[in-house]
Formats: sequence, C-alpha cells, structure tokens
Amino acid sequence: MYRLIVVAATAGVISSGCAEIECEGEGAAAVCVDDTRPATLEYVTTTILRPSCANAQCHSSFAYTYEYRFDTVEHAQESIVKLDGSQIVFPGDPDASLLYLVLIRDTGPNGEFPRMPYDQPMAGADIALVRRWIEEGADGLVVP
Amino acid sequence: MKTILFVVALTATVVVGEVAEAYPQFQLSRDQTCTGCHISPAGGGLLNENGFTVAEATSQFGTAPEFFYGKVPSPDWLVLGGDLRGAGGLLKYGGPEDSAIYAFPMQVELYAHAKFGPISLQLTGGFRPAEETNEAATTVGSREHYLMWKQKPDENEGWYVRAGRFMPVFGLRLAEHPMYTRRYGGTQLYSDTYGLAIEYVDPKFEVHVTGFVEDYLIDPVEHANGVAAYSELRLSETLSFGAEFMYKSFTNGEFLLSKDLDNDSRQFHIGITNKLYLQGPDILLQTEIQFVNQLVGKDNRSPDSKVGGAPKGLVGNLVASKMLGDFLLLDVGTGHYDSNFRIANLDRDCVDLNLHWFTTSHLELVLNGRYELIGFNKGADPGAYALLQLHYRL
Repeated sequence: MYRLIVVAATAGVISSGCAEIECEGEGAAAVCVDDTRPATLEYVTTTILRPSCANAQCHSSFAYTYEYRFDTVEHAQESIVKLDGSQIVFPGDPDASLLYLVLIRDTGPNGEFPRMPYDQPMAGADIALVRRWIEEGADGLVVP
Repeated sequence: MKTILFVVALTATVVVGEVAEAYPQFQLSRDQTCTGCHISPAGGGLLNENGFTVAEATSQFGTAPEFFYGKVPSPDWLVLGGDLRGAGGLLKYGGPEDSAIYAFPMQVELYAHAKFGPISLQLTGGFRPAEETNEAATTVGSREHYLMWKQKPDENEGWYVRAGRFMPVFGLRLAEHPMYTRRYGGTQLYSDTYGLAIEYVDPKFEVHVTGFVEDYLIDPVEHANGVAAYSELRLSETLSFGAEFMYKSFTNGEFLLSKDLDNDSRQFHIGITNKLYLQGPDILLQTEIQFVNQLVGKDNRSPDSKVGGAPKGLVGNLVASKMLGDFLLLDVGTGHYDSNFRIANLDRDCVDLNLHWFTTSHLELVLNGRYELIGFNKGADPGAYALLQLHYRL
C-alpha cells in the first residue's frame, strides 16, 4: 500500500509539475497562452478528434455516425471536406465551421443538436486549439 | 433543466455497457485467477463449473446457474451462453443546463465454446452498433472468434495459445468500458481485433503477450497494429502487482509496418497494476496507472515546441470493492486522465460508483454513476451520469 501511495503521489507531482501552458476558460472562451502545440490536421485529429470523437458508438469507422469519422487523418480529411463539395471547416473562419461550432454550441430548447462530444465534455484548451487550427488556415486540410 | 427523452436504437450504446466482462472484483477476494470462474484466460464471457457455483452462491435467490437453467442439454464438448444488457438513466454533458434521459440496449450476444481435447473454438456473435452507411451488413457481427490451445485441458492453469479475433489482455480489464483505463488506456469498447496470444496462468503468476493487427474484414474502431503485454505476480493470496506495456502503430491504411514509420502516429502505454484484498473489512482495492506517449508524424512535430509532437499523458483508476451481504457488490472508484500533462486543465477526474445487485444467478441490476471534473472546473463544465443497467445472463 505504501508503494501505491508513493507511485500515486509521484504521478501527481509529475502531472502537475509539468504544466507549462496555462489555459483558462471553456468552450469559445478558452484562452491558452503560448500554446505551441502544432495546429495541423494530423495533430488535431490524432490528439483531440480521435480520442474524443472516434469511439465505437460515434465517429469511428465502426459506427460512422452521420457519415463523419475521425479515426485516421485520411478519414478526417474525407469527413471535413466531402466529395459532394460540402465541408465542415472553412479555413480562416472558425465561426462558420461546423466542426468548431458543435463543440461550443448550446443544446437546442428541445434537446436537439447537443454540444459535442455529448458523452463527456471536451476541455476548453482542446477546443481552443481546434479554433486556432481553423483560424490559421487549417494546415494540412486539402480544400478544393 | 432541459430534459429530453430519447429511445436510442441499438447503435446508440453511448455511455455504459460493454459486452459482458469478468468481474475483476472477485479476483483475490474470491478466486486467484480469472480462469477460476471463466473459460477464457482473459476472463469474461462463458463461465466454467466453478463460475456457475460462484454465480449461484452470490445471488439473492439462487436458481440453477447453467445455460437456460440447465433445461437445454448440450454435449460435454460444447458450452453455450449469452448476455443481454440494457440501460437507462440521466446523462449530463456540455453546458450547465444540458442533460438528457436515455434508454438503450447494450448487448445481445450468444457464445459457443467447442472443446476437443486441448483444442477449442470460441465463437461470440450478436448485435453490434451498426455502421451508419452499411447497416444491412453490420447490424450483426462476431466480436470474438478464435482457436485456443490449452496445455492442461481439464485444469484452469497452464499455457494457452489463442489465434483469432479477441481483445488483447491488458491491465485490470474492468467491466465498465467508460472507466478511464479502458477508454483511454488502450482497450476501448469494441476494439477487439485479430491477433495471436501466448498466455500462462497459474495461481501465483500470469503473463499474456498478444500481437495484433488491424481488422481488415470490417471497418474497425481502431486502425492499429501492435503488441500488448500484461503480467501479474501474486505475492500472497491477498496482494498482487502487475506490469503492462502496449505499442500501437496507427496504420492510416498500411498493412502491418508502414514504409514511413517516422510519419506514423504511434502510441505507447506502460503501466502498473495492484490488487490488495483487505480481509478484515472485506474490501478489494484495485489500482492501474498508465503512462501514455502519443507520437504524431515528424512533419507535425514542432522542434521549438515544448509540447510538440509527443503529448505525454497519464491515465489511472483506483477502485474499492466490497460485498454488502451475500448478493450486493459496491464499487467506489476514482479516475484520472490527462492527455498532455504539459497543458494545464486538460486533465479530467471522476468519481465512479457502481452498485451491483445479483438477484438470481442469471439476473443482475447495476446502478452506474459518475461525476466528472475537467481541470477541476477550470477546463470545462462538469459531466455526470446515473444509469440503471439490466443484465441477464442466459
């Protein structure tokens, strides 16, 4: 038991002691100072969209809900810019990009259009990175 | 509070549920190994003779524990079973006023295990969440199908070799798939895939090594090849320590090894587990802590960034379990997940509560509850759920 406490305490110290980038606020209001995480399609897909959205019941290839899947970079590209010309990211304009808007919107009065991901909240710092990625031109995304 | 009533189709197994798994809570406190009660060396699914006895002894009203109460005869070489699950309750998400009432089926699966001396065949089939663009072909499926060689066909220990489709053995294998060490710890729901496992189980020690590949026959949850290893040493009848390692290479379509490894997304998990049974109060403590290193391709790493292409994270669970009388099992646990501990307020922490009521040897009611904080309320609004789960074992 003593070992467990030591391990847990060590992990806690590592976890808290390494925090270098402070983000405050949530959703659209999240502000992250000096967040130098790469704002690229691959990084956003791999570290945010895949773990948050691409689970078995939702936007993985397994379920392909609403024909969006974010389990690989290629699938994210195909889902964000569809073959029929529709797109959910408009580089430079996060406020017109559904991918961002679903993360910050208020659920409708009758429960329609819930904020995503609806099984558990997304951290504001990650939402801020998605916004920055779109604002900076959606690096890595191929738009016709 | 805006409340909605959703009756979600079979595809919407959203929060809780999973296919039937072992109750690791019984390990050490009731039996030393998963194979003490289950046929599979991974635990979960079909019960063996001792498992039937435990199911009957830990239920309020008893009843014959065999498949269909023993009224459906089967030859000695064949074991049949199945699990039906559904749940309903309240889910709170997103903003402070966002909540919904859900009811949804979770699992309808049948199992068959055919044994011919040291060789056996395991088949698990049933309904699954359908792929939205291909419902007709994906409403039913086989989550598990594998051939198994067992060194000691009539005992619950020794060497095992499995080849086929199954979930690699990794960590505590808690039944509730939203547990952080399941969802973020490398074995999320329906990530069963094809692999080859070499395993050894005895009361003092067990080890499982599995090589796995992406499932190219169906559209999988994870597109990854890799290896998973888990070992557990039981120092006494009340104390065990485990070590775990997993490597995943996310393929982006390549089979086995990519030609451009530097640009692949890769993930490492390394961690420890501990089980401590406190005999006096009859409480089992289970802990799992994993360090997770997520690598992205070199073209997406920022050399000048302290947090660039390799987010380092931590995921863990601590669960205390206690039998309340003969037929109630209470789990109280905490979880911690930080996807990148160099970024403040990405971390999430939760308190979980599960109360199992084993009514008969086949019927179980479970109350699942969670309260979750993101960055201790600095990162996002809290989330929560409270669900009542009904589980019937055929």
